[in-house]
Amino acid sequence: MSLLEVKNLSFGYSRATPFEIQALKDVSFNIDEGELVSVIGHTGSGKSTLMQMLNALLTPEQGEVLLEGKNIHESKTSAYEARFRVGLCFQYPEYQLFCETCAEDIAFGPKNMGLPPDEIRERVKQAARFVGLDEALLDHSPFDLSGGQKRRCAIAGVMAMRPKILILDEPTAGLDPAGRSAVLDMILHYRQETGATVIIVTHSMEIAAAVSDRILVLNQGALVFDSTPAEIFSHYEALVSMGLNVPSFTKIIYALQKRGLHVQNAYTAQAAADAICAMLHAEETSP
Amino acid sequence: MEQDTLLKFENVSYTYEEEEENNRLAVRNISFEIKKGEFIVVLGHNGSGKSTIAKLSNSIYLPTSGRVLVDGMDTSVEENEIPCRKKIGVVFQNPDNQIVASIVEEDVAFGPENLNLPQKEIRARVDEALKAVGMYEYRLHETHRLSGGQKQRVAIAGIIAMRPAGIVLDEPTAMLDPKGRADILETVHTLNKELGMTVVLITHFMEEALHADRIFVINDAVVERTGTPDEIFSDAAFLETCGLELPDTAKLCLLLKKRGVSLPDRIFTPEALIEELVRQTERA
Repeated sequence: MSLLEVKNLSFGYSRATPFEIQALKDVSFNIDEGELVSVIGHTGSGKSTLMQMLNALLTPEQGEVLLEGKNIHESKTSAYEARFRVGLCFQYPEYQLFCETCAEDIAFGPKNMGLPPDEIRERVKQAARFVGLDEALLDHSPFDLSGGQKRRCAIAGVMAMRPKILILDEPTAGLDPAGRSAVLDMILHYRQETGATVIIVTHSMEIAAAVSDRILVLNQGALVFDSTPAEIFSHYEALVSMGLNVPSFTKIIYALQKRGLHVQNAYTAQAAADAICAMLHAEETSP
Repeated sequence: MEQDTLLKFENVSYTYEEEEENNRLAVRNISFEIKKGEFIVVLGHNGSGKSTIAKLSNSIYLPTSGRVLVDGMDTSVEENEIPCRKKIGVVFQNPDNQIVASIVEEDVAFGPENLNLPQKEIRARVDEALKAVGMYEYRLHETHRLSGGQKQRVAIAGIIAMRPAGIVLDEPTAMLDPKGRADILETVHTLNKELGMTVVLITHFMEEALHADRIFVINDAVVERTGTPDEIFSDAAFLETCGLELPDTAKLCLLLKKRGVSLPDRIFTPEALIEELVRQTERA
């Protein structure tokens, strides 16, 4: 049994009006414990709708979401529990900071879970460590922090609930290159330490390629691909037709292939460098 | 001031009110000049002062000290405020915050209507602006149903309809999907090349800077360096100290060089690398 089983989810907005939109169409997939899965898709492809179903903020019209075999939409209680067990961190989460201190903000989730104060303190500290937020900053107002720090504080608030599954919607949007790699490192570190399952929604093909075990591709509400990065990024034309792309390194490889060169597919910088070296080496030694 | 300069910063400093007592400057004593028709990309880490520069350039903010000149007009002089804003339009990061009307063409008409132009003229400008950004077929669509990239193009059309000499875009692609990003970049390059509009593009994506005439690197409130893409991207260590990075192609070149592949310096675009590699295999 997979940790998360999504079965035939369908959902629409503005039903029975001229503005009806089918946001999700018969979407099914499984996610195993400890996996890191990226979700990519054009704006309006249904990514956010899907994520809000995974922690029961939205209820599917058809289909079900099973967390450890139990339907999270079964009752009010199961839906309530799902919000702690599937931690959802929205896009630009720093706009949701609201407490007087960072510590209180991070503690908000655990407090609502009804945990004892000692346990909450411990979790706040641990979450701050995960995101690399200096302990001295915990007593400061979150509004005194820099943009990058605010983002990390907000993510820590979700981590502090110790969810089975951590979902991050565009965790690097709007960050500079250093901020982007810091947030990614932090997510990878968190995953390594806790063994938690992580789902990342992203518009960056490079990020999806670099960190994921598996990628889900949504197009107009339907799940069109569910596979490894290597397999996904071999569908160049299909991805482009969906408003997506392949990583910049993969694009270079495909351009070389189009020019008649024998070079292996690659989707990260390292793999592309290896493939190009192998190509040059083969050309040298061929008669 | 020379005739062909659109935007000039002279020793400009700016402090946000709440930071006044800490004496913290958002931009510190910066000076630069942008010529009419130039395509400038501004790079810099979060909080480096990029957005402050955007807001100083059309008198949304006025300098705490120093002068900002828009086509020779000092933005600090009250009667210059409106003329300056007509000369330079600004597009921000979040498309949802910039759409004011429910129908695309009404949104684009908002600016020209406020200029008190005759109806016919407004119609002409709106159509022309929507065509320039490739959104003409959507003129009767509802704005809230557009994708992020489409909304952003409508926001740009709203600026174009004012017929400014220059447009400043503050991270216009940060929230967009790959197609949306590509469309915006194509749009701003077309505006620059075909309409001769001066473009200042503020971004966190190195790739977007590859075809700029000049790049300004902002670091901790100062303009740390200006130069052509070649000049800026040939100093990886400098970029890193500024919280930036090499473009992907240059990263790949570094990895190839580490593996013993001999490559000329200053390859930054995918096209250049592909040509070089094809050449090398033909030689072999």
